[in-house]
Amino acid sequence: MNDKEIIDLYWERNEAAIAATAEQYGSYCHAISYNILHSNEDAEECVNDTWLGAWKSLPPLRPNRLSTYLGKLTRNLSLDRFKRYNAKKRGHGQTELVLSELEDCIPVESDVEQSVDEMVLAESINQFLYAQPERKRNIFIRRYWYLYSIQDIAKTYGMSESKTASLLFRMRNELKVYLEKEGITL
Amino acid sequence: MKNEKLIHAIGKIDDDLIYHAVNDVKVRKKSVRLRWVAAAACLCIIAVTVYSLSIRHTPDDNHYTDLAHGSSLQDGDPNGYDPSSEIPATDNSEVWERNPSPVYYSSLMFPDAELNEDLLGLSTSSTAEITAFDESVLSQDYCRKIIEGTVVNLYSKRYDYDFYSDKFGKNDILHAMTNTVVYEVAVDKTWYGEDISGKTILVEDTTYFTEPILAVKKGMRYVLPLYDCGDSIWTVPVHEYAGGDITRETRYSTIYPFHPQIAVTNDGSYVIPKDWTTLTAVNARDIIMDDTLNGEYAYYQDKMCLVDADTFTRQMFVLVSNIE
Repeated sequence: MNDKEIIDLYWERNEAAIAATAEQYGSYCHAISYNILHSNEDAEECVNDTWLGAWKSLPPLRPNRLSTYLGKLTRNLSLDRFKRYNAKKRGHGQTELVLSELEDCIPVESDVEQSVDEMVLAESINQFLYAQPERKRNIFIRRYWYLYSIQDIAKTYGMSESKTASLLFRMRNELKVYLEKEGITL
Repeated sequence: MKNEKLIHAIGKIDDDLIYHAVNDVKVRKKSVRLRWVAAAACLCIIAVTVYSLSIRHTPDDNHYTDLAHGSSLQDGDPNGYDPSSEIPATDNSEVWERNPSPVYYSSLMFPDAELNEDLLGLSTSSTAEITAFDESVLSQDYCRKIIEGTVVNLYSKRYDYDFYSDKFGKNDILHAMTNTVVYEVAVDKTWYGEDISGKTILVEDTTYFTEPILAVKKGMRYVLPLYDCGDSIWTVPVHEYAGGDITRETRYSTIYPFHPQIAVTNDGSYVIPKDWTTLTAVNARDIIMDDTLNGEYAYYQDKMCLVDADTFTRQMFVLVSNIE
């Protein structure tokens, strides 16, 4: 079943939409959630919450690409859950590591600049990423959007872990400089 | 926390980026048609190579100063040629090292052009030293068009707008200001994308290459790769928008405005930064900049080259065939 047919089921309020989505994108969403929470049980719950979120939002929405729409729902739900767990010191997996790595990208503050909202920041990150070679861009997104481990990324691209880590380190610094040049503070 | 804001902002990047990041291996598979196109392009290059070798002792009508021999190729002196230098190579560095005929920038002829000095005061966002240009950014999802045309007007536009933010207090209104540069381009050739030859379009960039020699100027002719930047100067969500002008003059924006754009000379040759690796892979002649480029733009001092019209057409064909 293709994306359009699945979305049509949602619009018809046909519960078969959930089963079709789970079959098509269950493992994709589970992987995203598992990378963040490192728990099958929690990932399963987040994925179920994702189907619920999709049921509530389709209609009125009709996303162009269902996979990334569901992926974004899963990622947000999983990060929220991570935040709750982290408050109770139950956090684990890649999330803490990724958060600490992202400290490198935070631009130095200046007195005259104002903080930007998340969408402005996202647009700047888009522009930064589009200016990158495809491979570097994809490695960055796999790490900081999908939260894949460095080990997994290195394996996927046939690179050593140290080379992968160093490429990501350089990209974080480049992003920091780029955001500073754009006048963005967080 | 700031890193949390960053991770949530990364969560909002374009769907295409997210999708391709985990489907990149599949994306690289070329269609059978594309393979045939690529094969045809290779055959063209081989044919041209054989042809150029066969005529390498024949003087051409090139008017540029041949620095390697201190004479002009215009005078047709066959001794002015080093045959080995005429062998086209597929590797850029090899071509640049072996081609003995660099040209001075001052010897190139351009249309009468007008530099808008007001624009030179605009701040620029980045340089190639930070995020280098790579032809792989020209994906089907991103690149809408590659056009060639004359810049008939250019001006800056200032946007002032407000948005709601909880950064300092609940629902505070923050002010933002952005400058853009707008080019009015009379298009006469469409190298990629839906044909808009004969039309005049606007292109709007948030960055202007402020080096006076290589900056985009009114009256000059350029090749510009364009992407769809959307209707709004920033993608501010409707509920956060608090007033002011955010509507762009045009949806078109230049892909990678941080390096010099490809300029066209009076005789139809192309002045290209070397980061266009396909376009400069064959028959590219180094350009020697007579004057030192300003500040951070000194990076491009030795990174510009000249490609004749026929070679450019062939190489552009190869480049466009490989856009996936």
